Amino acid sequence: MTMCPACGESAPEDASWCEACGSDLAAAPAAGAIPDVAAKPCVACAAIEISTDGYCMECGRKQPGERDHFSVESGPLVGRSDVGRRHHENEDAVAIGAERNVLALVVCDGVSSTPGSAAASAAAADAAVAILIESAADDNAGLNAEERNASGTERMLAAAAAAQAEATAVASEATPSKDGPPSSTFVAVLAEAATGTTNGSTADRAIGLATELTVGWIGDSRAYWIGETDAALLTVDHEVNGSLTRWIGADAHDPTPEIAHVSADGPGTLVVCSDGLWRYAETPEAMSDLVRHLRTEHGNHDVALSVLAEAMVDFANASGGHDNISVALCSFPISTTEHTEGKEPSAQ
Amino acid sequence: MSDFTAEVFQNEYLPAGSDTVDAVVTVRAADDIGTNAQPDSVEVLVIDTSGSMLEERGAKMHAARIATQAAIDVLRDGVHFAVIGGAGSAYMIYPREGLAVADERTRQEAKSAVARTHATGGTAIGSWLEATAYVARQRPNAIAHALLLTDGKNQHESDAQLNRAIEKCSGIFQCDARGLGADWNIDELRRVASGLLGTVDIIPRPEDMEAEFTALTQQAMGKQVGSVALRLWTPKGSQIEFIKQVAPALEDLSADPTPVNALTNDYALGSWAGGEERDYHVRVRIPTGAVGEERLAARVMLAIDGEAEPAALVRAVWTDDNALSTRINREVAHYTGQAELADAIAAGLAARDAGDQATATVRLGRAVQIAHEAGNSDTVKLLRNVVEIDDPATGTVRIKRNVDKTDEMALDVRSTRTVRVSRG
Repeated sequence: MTMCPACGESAPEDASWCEACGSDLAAAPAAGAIPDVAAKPCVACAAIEISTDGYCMECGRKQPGERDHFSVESGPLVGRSDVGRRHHENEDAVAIGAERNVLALVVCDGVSSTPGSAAASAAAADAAVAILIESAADDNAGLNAEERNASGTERMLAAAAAAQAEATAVASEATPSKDGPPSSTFVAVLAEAATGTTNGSTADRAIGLATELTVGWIGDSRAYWIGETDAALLTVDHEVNGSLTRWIGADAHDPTPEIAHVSADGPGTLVVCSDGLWRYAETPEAMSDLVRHLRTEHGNHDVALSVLAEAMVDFANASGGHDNISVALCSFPISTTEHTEGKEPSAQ
Repeated sequence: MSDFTAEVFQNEYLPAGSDTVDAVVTVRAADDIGTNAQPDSVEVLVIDTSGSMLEERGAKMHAARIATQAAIDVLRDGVHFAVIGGAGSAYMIYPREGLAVADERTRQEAKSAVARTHATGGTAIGSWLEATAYVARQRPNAIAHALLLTDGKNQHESDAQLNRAIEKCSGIFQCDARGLGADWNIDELRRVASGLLGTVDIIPRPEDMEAEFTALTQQAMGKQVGSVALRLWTPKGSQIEFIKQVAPALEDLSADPTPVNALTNDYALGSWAGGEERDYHVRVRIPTGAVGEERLAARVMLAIDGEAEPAALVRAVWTDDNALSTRINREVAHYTGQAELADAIAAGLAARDAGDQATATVRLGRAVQIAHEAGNSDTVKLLRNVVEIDDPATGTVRIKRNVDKTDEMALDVRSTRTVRVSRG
């Protein structure tokens, strides 16, 4: 049994013309209407024919897309993103990167009222991470705290500028909408350990020790520090009465990030997330309780971060899943072995 | 290969529980469709030669001869053509039988034959159509078009005979129908035009005929692609509430689709010229989905000479965000208004005929208001012949007492003409 690429009617395997519409069955398949019989059956009606553009050819149900739920892992970092329960598209993006002495976590929340925001947030997050890890292994051992902060600020500004440039570039490709060009929030954390040159040979050192965090944000995506005994919200929302006051995108009036510097000098967990998660655990105390509770629920304190991230997404969905849910996590102190695990060995 | 494109305008966001999806589909033919070869065209000129054409001291028949000769002059070399005379039955004016191939000689012969035509007898439009189908069938793959002129009502056959003839001719040729003067029946010619994918209009005076015939024949000569259909896939359990052409004029296509398979139907759109654009309004009812779910409400394809090209998607996304679901789509709203305008004119004129001044004033007033708002300036002009407009913005009008019959008919017959939505 074969399918007509033009009209979708079934035809015998050896047929050369479609009985229904007369199309040449041997011709190159027309885009947009080709069933992929190898794919999973429809999530709604279990019909087996799904068009290449992702719709069930019986009931029309849009099949879950790749971005509806995805995970990223890099070195000691994990990220999860989920469409949630109420939105039909995941416009959040999570990107992470680990390179030598530098870790970068970025969450961008595409604004659902402006079409094309999913593409804008993805491009922005990827661009920001690329910029943040680019400078890994710069010789920073000789810098004092002030100089390290200045260097972190400089890189965060460059990362936000790259994110803004990408979001704007997506806008020029998007169909113009009266709701405005694609737009997104932005939150990034750059974690940097001191590194330097000793006796002429470069070595990563002290990666697990005191780590300087540079936090940059535009909009209402957040970063939390959840310590053993303390918890803090590292960002301040750019929001008034539920409306964003700042964002990135072609119509952004101020795409410069607000920046904070924090020292991660004790054991703890860094949580970078979109409002689809934090709406259900707003205060640092609530977020801290959530992390502690989920860790306990999933065994012990050494629960893998990937399990914790997945559990946080499940929690947000169980709480209503009103928006897209994204979270990126990092545990401190970072063990050097964990850091190098799962990534290409860096060139010496 | 994409000679035709389709674009969908809609608000895909539906509130929870809603099952009705509205979309406007704009279909465009590329400027250069089919210019590689001259299309195989058939043109049949069907001229009323009944006794009534002798009225006005022969001016009508005289103008009809001149107009038909002008149309013959427009025929491209190589086009297959015929001129048919219509009275109580149809007869060949040129050639004696079948179709002639247009060239210098046949055009001359045809014009001489037209000059010798005399008016006598009755009016049986169905028989004229059947005669047209008979000659057009000789070239079944050609783009066949007929221009039909009558000055009177279909008195010498039954309504059923006319309807049967229209049905028989459907798919064989397209027909633009024109009524001369004020003594013909709008409903009859509207049925002919609707059934045969053409237009209907009034030619108020004999002297207007030549320009109209020339323009219509030129238009027919411009058609490059013969048989285009809008192919709609809709999901299992859905129902196409309606599909209608909404620009350049309203035309309901819902009635008789050609099924392709269980979920797919073809709606005939007739022949197209390069660069042509038309708009269609589709309303589909589909099984409702949960909030956050997306479903395809229709896949719009274009079938050209039976071969389908994928074109555009009509989607449904259920949301609990009122800001999204209450958005009004400009195209859908505009054409909903254009349909209401046509209804208001029809209802207003019917009430006026029935002597119900109050209803006529309200409905024609509403028509003035919509036409004024939407920019239907031609329609406002036509309405002005029938009502005094005191305030177009509020639709305040007074019914005129003495109205020229042809003015009233022009308003009626042109009430389905629409203006396109302003974009940008």
